[in-house]
Amino acid sequence: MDNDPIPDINHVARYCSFRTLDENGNPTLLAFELKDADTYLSVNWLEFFEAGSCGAQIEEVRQAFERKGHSLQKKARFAVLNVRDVCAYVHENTSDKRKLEILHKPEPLDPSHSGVFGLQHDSDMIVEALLANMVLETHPARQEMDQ
Amino acid sequence: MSGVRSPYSAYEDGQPIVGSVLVPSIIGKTDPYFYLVKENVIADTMLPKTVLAHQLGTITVLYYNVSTELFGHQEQSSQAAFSKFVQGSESSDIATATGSVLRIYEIGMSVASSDHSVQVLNLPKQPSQSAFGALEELRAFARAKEIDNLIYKVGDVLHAPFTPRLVSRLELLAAEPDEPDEQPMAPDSLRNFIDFLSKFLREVPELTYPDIVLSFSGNIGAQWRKSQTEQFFAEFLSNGDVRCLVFTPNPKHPNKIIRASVTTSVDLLLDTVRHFGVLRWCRHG
Repeated sequence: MDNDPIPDINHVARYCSFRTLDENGNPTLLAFELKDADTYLSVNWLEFFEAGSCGAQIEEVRQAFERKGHSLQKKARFAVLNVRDVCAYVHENTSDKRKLEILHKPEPLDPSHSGVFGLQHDSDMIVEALLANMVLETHPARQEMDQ
Repeated sequence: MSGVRSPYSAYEDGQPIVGSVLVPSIIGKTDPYFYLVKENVIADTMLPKTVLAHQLGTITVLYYNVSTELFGHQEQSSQAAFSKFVQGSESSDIATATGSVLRIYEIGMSVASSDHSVQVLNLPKQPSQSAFGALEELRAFARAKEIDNLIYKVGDVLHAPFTPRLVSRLELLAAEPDEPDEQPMAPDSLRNFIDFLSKFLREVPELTYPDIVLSFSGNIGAQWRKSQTEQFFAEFLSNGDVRCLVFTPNPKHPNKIIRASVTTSVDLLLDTVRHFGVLRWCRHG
């Protein structure tokens, strides 16, 4: 349902452009930068899919991107974050005790689409860096890179 | 020169030219310009970013310097052009900046290895002739040339063990963005970064290699990250300001972390981060 909170124990994946990754493929804080036109950071809710493994869930996300006509870059990656850990870490380590919310924002072609709410434009490098610190694992944006 | 005929003819005075070879600048990209190659003759259509001539086993790359003289040209040796763009194994991996000579390099290799047999793929459609489109293309070309020149300058002004690696990384990031909402690398941002890094290296000669990334708006981001609690990140804006982030251990309370995010001018950045002890841990040893 639109705007439902993602369960704490679940995970979300953030599509990270190649340009925002370091040379080892790790997301930097720029991978979590809020674009001017956006009010939240787009992510995908992984447990929305019944597929068992994280890799299988990421594959579902890839297919949603393709349905939306989003051409996945060969060197881009999906960064996986745990909902509870991210929210707690940001809350504990920001001077304003920032409360992030991760809400389901389904789209017709992308039913697991979700958003991280609570980031601000221009002045939120600390939160962006904290998000980058909390990346659990990354997966290639294109499946063939897995092989 | 024998060449592969294009489904899209080259045009000169509105008439297709027989016997020519069309060379697209970027495989897989829609590019409103194309290049016309004839045996030992350099010709161009409209306002080209790059024209090239094939000679036996070598390539001469000529490009128009639109920033100073619209229809003048400069010659660049094939060796210099090659040395800048030899990276990646597939066309989609390699720099695709407007005005890039990379595609020419690939064509050149085909010429050199197969006796002038040139394979042309994904030819662009006939270019738009709108004045606005042409102006935008010229701006994009001027920006790409400026970026090229700045990256070339890196090798001259930055004397560090990591300079060749840095140049390669910048060339990779200077490619045209793959995402529709991403801007290409901003020349003024790159210039500010080079100025800062030059100053940083003078103060810390044993500086470690920074991770270089690009923001959505094309700004250079440089990151020195030793651990989750020792990070220095700077995003160089085009107006001379820098958005900077520092995570560093609190020297008086080792179990606490100082986290600071400030915007300052590039000429004050080093002084700003010096107070946070960044210079202690972003060096080798």
